[in-house]
Amino acid sequence: MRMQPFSNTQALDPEVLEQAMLWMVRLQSGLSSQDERIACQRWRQENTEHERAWQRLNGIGQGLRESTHALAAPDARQLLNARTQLSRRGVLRGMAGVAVLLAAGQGIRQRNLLPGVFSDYATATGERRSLTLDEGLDLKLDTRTTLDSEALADGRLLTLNSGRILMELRSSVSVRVATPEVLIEPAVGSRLMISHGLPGAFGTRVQLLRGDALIEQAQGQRFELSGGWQQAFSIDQAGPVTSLGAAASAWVQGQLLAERMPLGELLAELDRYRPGFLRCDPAIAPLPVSGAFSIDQPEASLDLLTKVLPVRVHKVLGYWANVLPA
Amino acid sequence: MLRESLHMPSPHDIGELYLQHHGWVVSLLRRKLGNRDQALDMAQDTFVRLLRSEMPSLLREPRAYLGTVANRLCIQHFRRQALERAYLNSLALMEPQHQPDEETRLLVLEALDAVGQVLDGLGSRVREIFLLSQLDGWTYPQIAEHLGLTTNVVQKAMLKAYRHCYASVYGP
Repeated sequence: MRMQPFSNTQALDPEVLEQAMLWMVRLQSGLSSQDERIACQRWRQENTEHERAWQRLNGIGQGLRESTHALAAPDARQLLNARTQLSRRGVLRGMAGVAVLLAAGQGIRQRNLLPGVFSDYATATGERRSLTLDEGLDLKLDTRTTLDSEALADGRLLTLNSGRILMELRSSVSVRVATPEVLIEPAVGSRLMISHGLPGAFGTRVQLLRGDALIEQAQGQRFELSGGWQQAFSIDQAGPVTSLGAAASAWVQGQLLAERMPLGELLAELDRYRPGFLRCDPAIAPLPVSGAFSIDQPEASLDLLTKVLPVRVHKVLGYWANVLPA
Repeated sequence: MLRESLHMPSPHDIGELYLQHHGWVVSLLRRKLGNRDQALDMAQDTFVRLLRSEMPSLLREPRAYLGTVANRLCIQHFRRQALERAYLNSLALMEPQHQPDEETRLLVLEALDAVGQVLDGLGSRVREIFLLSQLDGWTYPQIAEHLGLTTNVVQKAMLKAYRHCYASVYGP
């Protein structure tokens, strides 16, 4: 078993693409009827090529929103306008004394700059999404997740670029999941979570809710994991196998369950579901927190924290939020 | 295969071009940038770009081609500077203790610049329409009213923007 390089640049039929754009524009206009929405849904399901075109176009809008999520929409628009409007002489004078970072030489096709645009499936901040890729293969994508999917001769290869998925394998479809650190092959009947690049976990974390999975590191070391256990992997190291608490899959229900969790960790987790930036004052980061917090309503969760802990939240423009000692 | 290899400049060709035209590119960039070190850096980038180019005209009219690449890099550079300045100006309005740290600022700028590059080439009106729809989530009638246009014009602009963005992300 080897890691397969993934390419997601297959060209689409221009006519299919044009059709997808017409559908996209019609449905986003705010003028579409229920009948049109159903007809569009039907068109997408007619053919995997249709769905692929739709997902790519959808990804462009999501990529834009993801890339600007730290800013309010009018601010992002204003900055993007400023980028092309100022005269160069004015710019040069204004930039005196400011360190300039030269972006030249870096193509825009770098996945890390706009991951959403380049992935087959992507969720925005705060979004969760269910997918059925094959009969018997169900997926749930957590917030800020990007996933590629490729049908190969020997089964389906999913590539998790960022975020977290929960997958359930109900029948004997062959599926493997690649992350930058490992390749995971779950057995039939398994239910597991895989995450990459989450706060507090190094590399890839594999969590088996049920069933078994084989995990192979890039250098060939192999591991087995069974239901009720979890393990984290870097490129060349494996963390200890630890038992998996019930709280681990609460995100699927929109919840974050904390049991004496340090406030800093809780906020880092909440930050992923909230547009903007959430900062925790280091002085209060170790405070232990217990309770159930909504990830669908991160603002309400922040309010709740101010009621149960000696902390206050200072917000700037609604987006930058600092949690400070009360 | 042979056709393609004829169209791709070899490292040897690039070496020759470098010897013959590097000084010219540096002086071109120095006039635009007004700074010798930056001009040298960007000349380097200009030649690095050539290794990935497939332009047959490169060998026929090297200076026209080198000039175009150098110009494009300059424009990207000025746009990045304009973006940084606008961002720093907006941060200056915030209280110091709430300002994002250096790393966060860089991430915000990188992401905005990447978005800007995807949109580069769109007219300002089409770009504004596309952003109002995608970032602000406005309907076409709302955008039309705001900009004093018909819904039909908004729809055409959206199609144009989608075609452009698709081509700049996935290639034409």
